[in-house]
Amino acid sequence: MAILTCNNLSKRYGSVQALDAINVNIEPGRIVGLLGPNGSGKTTLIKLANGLLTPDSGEILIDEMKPGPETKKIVSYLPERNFLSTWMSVRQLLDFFCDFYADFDRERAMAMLSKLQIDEKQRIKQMSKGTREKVQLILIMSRRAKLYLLDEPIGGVDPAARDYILQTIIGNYEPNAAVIISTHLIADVEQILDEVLFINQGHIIRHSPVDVIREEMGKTVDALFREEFRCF
Amino acid sequence: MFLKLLKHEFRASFRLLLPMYGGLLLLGLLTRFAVRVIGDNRALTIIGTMSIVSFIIACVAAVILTMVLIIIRFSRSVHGDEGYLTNTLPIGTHGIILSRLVVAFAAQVCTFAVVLLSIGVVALDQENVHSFVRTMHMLFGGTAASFRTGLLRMVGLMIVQSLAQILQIFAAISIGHSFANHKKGFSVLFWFVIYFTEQTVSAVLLSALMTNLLFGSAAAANMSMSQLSGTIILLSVIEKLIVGGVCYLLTWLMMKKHLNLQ
Repeated sequence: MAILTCNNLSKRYGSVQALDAINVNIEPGRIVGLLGPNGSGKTTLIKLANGLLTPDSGEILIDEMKPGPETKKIVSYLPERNFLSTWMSVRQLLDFFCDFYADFDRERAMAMLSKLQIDEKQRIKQMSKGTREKVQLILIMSRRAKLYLLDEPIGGVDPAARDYILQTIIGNYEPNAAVIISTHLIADVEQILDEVLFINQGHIIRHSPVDVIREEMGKTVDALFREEFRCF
Repeated sequence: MFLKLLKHEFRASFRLLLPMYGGLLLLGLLTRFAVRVIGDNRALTIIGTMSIVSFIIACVAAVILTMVLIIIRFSRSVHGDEGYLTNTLPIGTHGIILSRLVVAFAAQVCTFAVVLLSIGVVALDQENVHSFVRTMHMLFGGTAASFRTGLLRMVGLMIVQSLAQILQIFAAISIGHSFANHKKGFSVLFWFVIYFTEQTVSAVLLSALMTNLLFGSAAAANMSMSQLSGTIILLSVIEKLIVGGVCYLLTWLMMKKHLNLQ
């Protein structure tokens, strides 16, 4: 049974067609790269899955349910923006996540924080941008969710931080859960991906296992992406 | 889940309000002290006057700051970057709006109570209390029963008015943030649109009512002052309830169907 299903899903912003009748099924236990250039519809798809946007037509289902409070219990979402209240301390954020998410594993979060030597008493506003992003990721990956939706988790951080983030993702997601990582930094993520979804101008133009790309086509995901999205 | 949301919302809002309340009460005490100690000493009158003026400014500032806090809290936590977390919590849109409404209302009530209390600290003595109660009796008809009824009506109207006012702000912010650019500007614009629409409708209804009461039926003409004020308050409550209801629905609709997080 698919954890994420899109049936003829469309979304338009004014005159711009962000998603055009896309059909996708994502199975549990897979790490999927949602890859495409800027403005291709990646974030729109992720926002629709989180119920932050409403489809114009078609449907999107999470574990066979339309996005709502029930699906939000099983989806762990890392947005592109910094969503943490800057006045809160790390401890207050842990309390917050414990209160709202039954699947939040506080011990796991504390272990990751301790590894990074982040003090629980420290407030978000006292942290650097990179540390804030790590705290966000730790909170999101400490949930035992069925579906992780990570929107540009490695955008805007240095290569060392990227490695940490990717290791955190593969080291902490639930084996039966699906992880969807939206990014345009293909080379950095392709080592951890099971499948890729290439998206362009609101259309899914490829949905393949990474092994097929490597073995049958003899290319890396990065090379194939550059080929298919060549600008000139 | 709703109670947890309320708990966190109270913490987020009152962490700023509580120090303000403490400061206002302290200023009230200092002002009382300054006024009493200075007494008839003409040389120090200017200090006493300045204390009172500062205190009045602080009271007005407390009311304005509470409103600003309500606006900032709603726009940031629902429509700003924090909205990514708020709107993906496992709770429905009604829960999010109601939690903000309850806390914003509590903030207004607490600020009102603290301002009254601090005014009491500065100015209250036995003579002032008697004078205040006498004025209220005169306003509401003279008897203890009519005083209670009048007071209850006024409190009821203030509660409904406060809730409607908050919901007007929520609706304006939610509509303003549905635009791609100039979200704050559009929020202010739509607040004016909602406010002036409400004021116009209210004025038309009130003038129609007054015309009916003054030149209408014989029963209406025989109404006492207390009955007349009661009717006006009741109609105002109904009007505010309708305005609040419409604004709540607008807020819900914008958050549910047109949420526009950057």
